Amino acid sequence: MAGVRDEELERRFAAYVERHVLTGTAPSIERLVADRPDLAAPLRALVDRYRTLAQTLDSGLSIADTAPSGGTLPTFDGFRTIERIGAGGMGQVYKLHDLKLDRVVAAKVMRPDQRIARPVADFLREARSMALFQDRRIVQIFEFRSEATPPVIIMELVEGFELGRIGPSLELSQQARVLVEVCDAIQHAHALGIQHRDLKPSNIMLDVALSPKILDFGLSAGAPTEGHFIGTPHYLAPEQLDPAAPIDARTDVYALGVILYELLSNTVPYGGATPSDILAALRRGQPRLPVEINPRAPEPLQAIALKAMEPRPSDRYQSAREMSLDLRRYLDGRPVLARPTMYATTLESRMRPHVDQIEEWLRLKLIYPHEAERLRAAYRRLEAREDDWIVGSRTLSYSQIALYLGAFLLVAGSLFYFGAHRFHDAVRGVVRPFFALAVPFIGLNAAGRYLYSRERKAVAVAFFLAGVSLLPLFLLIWFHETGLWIAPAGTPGQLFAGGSVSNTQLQVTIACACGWSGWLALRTKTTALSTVLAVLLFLLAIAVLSDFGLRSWIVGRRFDRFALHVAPLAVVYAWLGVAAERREKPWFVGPLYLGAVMVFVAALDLLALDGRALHYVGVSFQPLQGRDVSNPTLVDTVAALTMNGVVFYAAASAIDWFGSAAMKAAAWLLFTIVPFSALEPLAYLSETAEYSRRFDWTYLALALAIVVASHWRERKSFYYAGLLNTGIALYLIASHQHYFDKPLWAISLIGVGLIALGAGFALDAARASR
Amino acid sequence: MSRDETATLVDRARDGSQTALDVLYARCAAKLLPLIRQRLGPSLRSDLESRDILQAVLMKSFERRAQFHGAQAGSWMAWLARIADNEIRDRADYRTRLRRDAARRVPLDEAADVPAPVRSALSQTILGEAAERLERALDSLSDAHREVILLRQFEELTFPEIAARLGKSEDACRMAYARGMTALTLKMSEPT
Repeated sequence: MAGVRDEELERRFAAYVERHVLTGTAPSIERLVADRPDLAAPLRALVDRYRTLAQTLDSGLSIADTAPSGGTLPTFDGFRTIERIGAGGMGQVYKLHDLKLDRVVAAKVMRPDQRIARPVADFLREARSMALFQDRRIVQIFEFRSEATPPVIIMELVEGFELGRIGPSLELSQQARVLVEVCDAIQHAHALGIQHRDLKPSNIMLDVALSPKILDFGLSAGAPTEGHFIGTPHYLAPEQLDPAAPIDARTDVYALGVILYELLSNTVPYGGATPSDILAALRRGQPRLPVEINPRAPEPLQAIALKAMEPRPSDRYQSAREMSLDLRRYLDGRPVLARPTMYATTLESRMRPHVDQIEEWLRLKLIYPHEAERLRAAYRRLEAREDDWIVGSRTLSYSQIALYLGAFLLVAGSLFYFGAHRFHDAVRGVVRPFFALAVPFIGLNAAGRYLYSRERKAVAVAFFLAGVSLLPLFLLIWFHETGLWIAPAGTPGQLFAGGSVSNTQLQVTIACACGWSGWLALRTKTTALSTVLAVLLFLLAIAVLSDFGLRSWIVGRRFDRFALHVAPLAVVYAWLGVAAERREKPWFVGPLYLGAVMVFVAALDLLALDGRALHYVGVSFQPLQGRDVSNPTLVDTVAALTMNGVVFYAAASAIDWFGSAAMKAAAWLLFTIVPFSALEPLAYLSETAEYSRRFDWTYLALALAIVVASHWRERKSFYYAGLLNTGIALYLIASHQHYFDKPLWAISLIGVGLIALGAGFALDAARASR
Repeated sequence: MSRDETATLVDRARDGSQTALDVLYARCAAKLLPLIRQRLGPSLRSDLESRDILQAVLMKSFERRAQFHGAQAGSWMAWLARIADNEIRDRADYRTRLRRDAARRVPLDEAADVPAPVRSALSQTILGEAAERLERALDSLSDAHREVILLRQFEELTFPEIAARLGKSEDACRMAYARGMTALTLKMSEPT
C-alpha cells in the first residue's frame, strides 16, 4: 500500500465489504471501479486481504499464518504433494510422498530472498561423507534442488511440535533434558566441524517422546569468516554482528543459551519491534534476569543460560558438551559450574544509582563524609569478587572455613617442623623435610594451578596460600643440610647469633618466596596473595637490614638507625602501589598502600625515641629541661612525638586531598592514628614521672577534652583515642599517687561516671522536649 | 472455523470422540486467547496472566462441558466467553481486594491434573507476530466496531443474537460489522 491514503479507494472498498456482509455475496470488483479502472488492482489487493483476514479470524489469531492461503499445492518431480504442513522463517514446508522410494518426506521451498551461505549441495556431500546424519537427532537432508526456482530442499519428515510451541508447557526437568539432547547433537556436529548458526526454537522439533530433532542443519554453515547477519535476530550472537569477528562453535552455544533463556522466561532476552531494535538491545547487552520475569525459574538453569549467552565467546561454555555437562549436573541435583559475568555487571549497574544517591546526600549535607565513605565501602564490598578469599568474601561457606583452617594449620605445622629441625635437631637429613615440606608444596601448587584453570578460584587461592610458607622453610633446611651460605655460631653481624640461620640464607629464601608469591598474585589477581607479598617484602627488608647491623641496633637501643634504614621501604611500597594502580592491577594496591602507611608511622615513631629525631635536625630543647630530670632527652622525645602527630595529620590531609580513591583508604588509616599520636607525648611525659605530678592531671584533662572534641570531628577514632588515653591516665595517676588501696578513688570515679550518665540523660531529655 | 463446524465437533466430542475433543480444544484455545486479551484491554493484558486465564477457562469448561447443551444453548464459543468474562471479573475483584497473589496462579506444569486436551491445546497456542499485529489493529478500532467483531468472529454469534445482546437492530449490527471489518483491513494494510 502506498503511504498516502486514497479516500476514493477506501470508499469503494467499504462499499464492497458492506455488500458482502449485508447480502452474503461478493460483488463484482469490475463494476465497483468501472469509472476508475486504475483502482482495480489496489482494490483487489484490499479485498484479498479482507478475505484472508476473515479466514484468519475464523481460525483464531493464535495460529494465524501470514502465508497466502488457498491456492493449489506446488508439484515436485518424482513426488506427490500431500499437504502444506507449515511455514517457517525460511519458507513453506510441504509433506510429500516419494514415488520412487515409497516414503513420506518433507519439502522446504526456500523463500526467494533467503540467503544461503554456500552451495547446499557441497554441504550435503560433506555431511554425508562425515556421517552427520547418523545422529538421529539431526534431521536428515536427502536432496537439494538448486536448479528449481525457488530452490527446494527435500528432507526427512518430522512429526511433532516445534520446541517454541510446546516448550513453555514442559516441566523444568523436561526442558533441561531436551536441551541436554540438543547440546549433545550439536556437539556431535561440532566434532565433525559443522556448525548450525541458525539455532532457534522453531528449528528444534520434539516428537511424542520429547526427543528433539534439529532442522536446517548446514543451511547457514560456512567458513569462519562467513555467517554474519545470517539467522534470526533474536538468536544472533554478538560476533555475528561484527564482520571482523570470527564465528565458531561457540556461536551455536550462544543460541543454545538464548533458547534456554526463552524456555525459562517465556520471552527472548533481547526483544524489540524491529530487527534494528533487537540488535540495538543486543549491543547494549543487559537483559533482564529470567527470574525477574518468571519467579519460578531456577537459579542454576538461569546461570547456565546466561553463561552460554555471554557476549564474549571466551566467557561462554567453550563447547556444547560443557553446557550439556552443566545441565546434567542440574538434573542430578548437583551444583552447576556456571557463574555468568552478568551477575556482577547487573549488580554493578543496579548499584550505580545507589552510589550516585550517596553523592547527592553528601552534597546536600544530609550525611557526613565518613558516613558516605562507609556506605560506598559497603557497595564496594558487593562489587568485590565473591570468592577471592576469606577477608574479601561476602559470605562464608563451610568449604571456605575448612579451606582456610586447613591452610592455617598447614602453615603452623610447617613452622613447628622447621623448629624441630633447626632448633631441636629432632630431624636430620634432607629427605624427610623434602617429603614433609617440598612435596606438599609442589602438590598444592599443581592442584591450585589445575583448579584455577577449572574456575575453582576460591579453592585454588587457598591452596596457593597454604603452600607459600612451605617453600622458604624447606629452602632454609636444605641450605643448612648442604652447608650453603652457612654462618658459624658467633659470627659477628648475624641476626641469629646461634648460627641456626644465616643472613644470606634468610635473604635468599625470602627473596624466593617474594618472587613466588608475587607471580601467584599477578596470575590469580587476588588480594590474598598480594597481602602475602606485602608482608614478605617487609620480612625481606628485615633480612637485608640484618647485614647492616640490625642486631646491634636492637641490642644498643638505636631504634633511630632501624627507623632510618627501614624508611625507604615505605617509599618502595608507595611506588609499587602507584605502579600497580597505573597498570590497573587493583588487587595489589590496597595492601601496598597500607604497608607504606604502617612503615611510615612506625619509622617516624621509632625515630622520635630518645630525642634522636631532633638530634638529626640539629635542634635540642635540652637546655629547657629541668636539672633534676634523669632522662636527658625527655623534652626532645616529647617534642619529636608531638611533631609526628602534626606530620601524620598533614600527610593524611594531603593524601585525602590529592590522592586517588585507593590512597584514601590509607589516608583513613592515618586519620585514625592521628589522635593516638597526638596524646602520645603527654602519655610519655606522664609515664616517665620525671616532671611535676600535675602532668598526670593534664594528661587526663587532655584525654577527656579529646573525648568531648570528638563531637566536632567526624571521626570516631578521636573518641576511642580519648577513652583509651583516659584509661591510661587514670592508671598512671593511681600508680603515681599510690591510689590503688584508696576506695575513695574508685568511688569518686563511679560518682563521676554516674554524673556523666545523668548529664547524658538530661541532654537527651532537653533535645526531646525541643 | 465456523459455528457449524464447532457445533459438529462439540456433538462428536459428546458422543465420545477423543480426536474431536482434542481438535475442539486446540481450535477454541486459539480463538479464546485473543478474545481474553481483547477483553482484558491493552493496559491489563500481560502474557502470563492471559495464558493463565486461558488455562483456567479451558479447565472450567472441560469440567463443566456436560452443562453445555448444544443448539439450545447457542454458541459454544459464546459459552466459553462467558466463563472467561467471569474469570476476568473474579480476578479483577480479587486484585482490588488483595492485590496480586502469586500463590493463586497455578503454573502450567505444576497443575498435575490438567486434562490432556487442555494441556495440548495450551501448548500449541501461542501469539505469533501476525497475531500481535492483528491485536494492535483491533486495539485501534472504536469500541463499537471492535465489540461487534469480537461477538461475530470470536464468540461465533449470529447477527440476530448479536442484535439481542447489544439491543440494536440486526441491520445496524451488520453495518457496524462491515465498517469494523473495513477499518480493520485498512489498518492491517498500513505499512508497519
